[in-house]
Amino acid sequence: MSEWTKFFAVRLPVAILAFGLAIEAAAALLSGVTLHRHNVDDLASAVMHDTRPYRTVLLGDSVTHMVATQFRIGDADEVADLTTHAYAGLPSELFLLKRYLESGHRPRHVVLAVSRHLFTEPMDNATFSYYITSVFKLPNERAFLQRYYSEYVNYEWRPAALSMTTTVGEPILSLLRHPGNQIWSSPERPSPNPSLEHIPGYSDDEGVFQKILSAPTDIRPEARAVITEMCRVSQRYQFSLHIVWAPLEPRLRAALIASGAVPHIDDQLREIFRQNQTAASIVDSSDRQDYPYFDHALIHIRGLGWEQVYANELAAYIHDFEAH
Amino acid sequence: MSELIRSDVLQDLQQVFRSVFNDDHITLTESTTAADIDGWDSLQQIKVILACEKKFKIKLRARDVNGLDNVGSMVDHLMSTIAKTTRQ
Amino acid sequence: MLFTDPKFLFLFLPFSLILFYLMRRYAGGKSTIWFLLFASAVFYGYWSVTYLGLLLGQVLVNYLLSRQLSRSHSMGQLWLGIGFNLLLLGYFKYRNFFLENVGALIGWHPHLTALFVPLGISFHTFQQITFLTDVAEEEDEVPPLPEYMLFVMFFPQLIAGPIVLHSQMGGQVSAVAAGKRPQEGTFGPGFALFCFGLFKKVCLADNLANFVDSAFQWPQHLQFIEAWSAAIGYCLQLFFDFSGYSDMAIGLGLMFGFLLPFNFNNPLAATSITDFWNRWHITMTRFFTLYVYSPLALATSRMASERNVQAFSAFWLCIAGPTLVTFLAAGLWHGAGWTFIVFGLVHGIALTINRGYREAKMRQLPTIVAWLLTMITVLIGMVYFRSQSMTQAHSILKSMFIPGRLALPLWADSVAQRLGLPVTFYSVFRAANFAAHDLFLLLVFAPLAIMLPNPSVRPKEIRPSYRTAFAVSAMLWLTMGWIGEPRTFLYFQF
Repeated sequence: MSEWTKFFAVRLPVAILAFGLAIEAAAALLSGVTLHRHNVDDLASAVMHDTRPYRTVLLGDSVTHMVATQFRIGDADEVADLTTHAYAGLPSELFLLKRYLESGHRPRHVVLAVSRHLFTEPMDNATFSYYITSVFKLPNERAFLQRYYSEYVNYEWRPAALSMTTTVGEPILSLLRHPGNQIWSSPERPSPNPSLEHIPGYSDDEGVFQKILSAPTDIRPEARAVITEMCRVSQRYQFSLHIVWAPLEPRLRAALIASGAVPHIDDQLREIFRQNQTAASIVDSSDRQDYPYFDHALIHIRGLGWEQVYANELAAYIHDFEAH
Repeated sequence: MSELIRSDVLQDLQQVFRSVFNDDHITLTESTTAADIDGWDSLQQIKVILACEKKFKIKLRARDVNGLDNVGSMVDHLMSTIAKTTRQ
Repeated sequence: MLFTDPKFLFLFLPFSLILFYLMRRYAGGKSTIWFLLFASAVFYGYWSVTYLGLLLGQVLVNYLLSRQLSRSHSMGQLWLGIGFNLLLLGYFKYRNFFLENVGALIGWHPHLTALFVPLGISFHTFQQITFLTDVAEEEDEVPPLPEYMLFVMFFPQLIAGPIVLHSQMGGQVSAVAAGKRPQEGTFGPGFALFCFGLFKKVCLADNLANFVDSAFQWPQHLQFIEAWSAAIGYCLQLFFDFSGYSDMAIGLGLMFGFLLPFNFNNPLAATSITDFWNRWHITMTRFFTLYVYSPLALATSRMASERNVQAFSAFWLCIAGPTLVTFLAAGLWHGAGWTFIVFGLVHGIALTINRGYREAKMRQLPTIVAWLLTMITVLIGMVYFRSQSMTQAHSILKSMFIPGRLALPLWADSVAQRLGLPVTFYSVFRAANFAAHDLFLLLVFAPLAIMLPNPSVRPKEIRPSYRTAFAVSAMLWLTMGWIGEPRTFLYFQF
């Protein structure tokens, strides 16, 4: 046999097999490692280990997360900050909440400080696995995802070598990170009267504006399933559920109210709560306070000081809920 | 008509190189390549070609600037061009 | 059809290979050539039968032209032939750009329907122009029609090069046609090289794509780090994409027993801009050097020496002028747009400066400084190359070189605020943690781009050892894991 024939007949197949088996073995060895690639990973494990008796759980997307990660919401150990971002979406809110509850915590209030588009937009296929499927692997979580998010998940077996970065690379990197097992809370408190930045020449991107205006306004079935499940656990674990809509750019908000999008979404949610006999409250943080500057995607608050305003507002809402 | 002698052409070419590269120590053999002479790139090659045109009283072409790998093939090309020119 | 398409990998390629080797063994050389032509036609026609017709038409016209030129050796006829080819290329590629700009000058705004640029037209048109020139200048002879057609249409190099000269391939094709014994030991190295190229494209280039595309979609919002990351990310993406494609093309050629010229030789390690172009898209550099720069430079040099032009003016006439003209053409060749022209200009100016520096015999810079200067120039060119408009390019460049505010990624923002630095948020990347992921990619891929070997330069040196086997198998596993939707190769718009 010539050398290359030997290569294709023997050496290459052997190498392919050996490589596949080696990775499979490494993946098996590393399968017990708790992943710590991003804050959703960190929270997924912290909720099960942090034993502090937080009175309120704060769930939310990146609008709130960007604020809560810098400034502690409320008093020390009062609020458990379980905020994530839109790519982890409603599934992350639900699963983090359930894990928190099933680890023995008994909060009195759960605040969902999200944006309305989490209920009406589809999830991002490219990041779903990274932020959700590979994080929430408990049997009931997998069942939920398989049932309501089936087009985003694939639980069929694949050789570990076909996704080396996930099966081997990420666990190894996670071993190098030691985020601690506590729910993060910023040591910094928002100042009660922060100096507010004014950005001259601020304007919205018209293309983004129009795109958001013409977005669908029906609550998607999977979002409906998440809220229904939250209602169910609220009854089981005896806490009050509150929705606090995250700040929205004022001009955009006015347009969305005028077009009927905002009332329509709120109405659909109220209907879901009614059907589940859950007395959840819906408030809009933009009702009490205008936030004038946003990023180019019209999603996140911009401008120094304005985030602290939102942090203070959220704390005020939470104290309101706790007082009643 | 005198016969063209290869070594004469090589000598003349060596003089061309010495003048273009301003280096009297340059010695050319049939196998000298661009790597052996410091700074002999396509830019200098143009100067060499022009100097050859003057010295041998021939006209060379653009593709000769880059097509030749070593001095030996240059000499070949020069000799055939000279022969062609004197025939006309 | 794309090389990363499963239909190509698991249907077209195996079948073509098997049939090729069978025909070569049992059916004789000529039939083998016809078969390869047929396969190449299928490969091109899969995308568009109409444009396959156009390609065949152009090839036939050029063949007749070359026959004529081999008899007459007339420069006038050569220019007519070149003109025909350039007009064809110009019509499809530059018509709209030309009309828009002329129209803007005279106040006429035509409604132009988008013209679909035939795949690979820039490449095979140039390849055919080289052949016409070579024939006219008596450097080459006209082979039989099927052999000429295969030289142009051989599917590995049909769509995006390497730009092959007939002198490099003609002999190989006629050897096959004559039924000579095939070269030994090319299939194995070809396969390994193909896998390597596939890996670079699917695992390296495509992983950078998400991040780079996002950044260039919002150029006016990029801040300092984001702008640099976008430029570096695109440079890496283009390198892996195009050199990966070239490796695949050369690997495929080898699998069929043909040795095609290599196109890349570690360009991101270049220590001068001249060095860079000797290592990046080498076959294109060679085309422009042989057929544009050298004739121009020789003509101007002759003129300069006849008129005794002094050194300084001579530099501008003989070096700067031809360099700028050549690179303006090269820039324009890449695409119909001002950004491409400026891309060419940036490199033309840089090359002129480089040559001037050398002509003036100034002190050689330390290697690291030279490398940095070269890379910064390349990155500036890349920003123009990738941007969709001049405004976008300029806003990115401004963020890179004149940053107004310091922008930090989300997770460093609290640190910066505490230090009182003027900051804004990282707004381009998908989500805060993805930004870390993408930056990590850059940090790993950048050294890879410089350190990865270049087997395409001497493919016969690839040994059938266990080491190669493990390298290939690692690449195959990684590639199969990532091969999702086939993305187009970046150089496909050409």
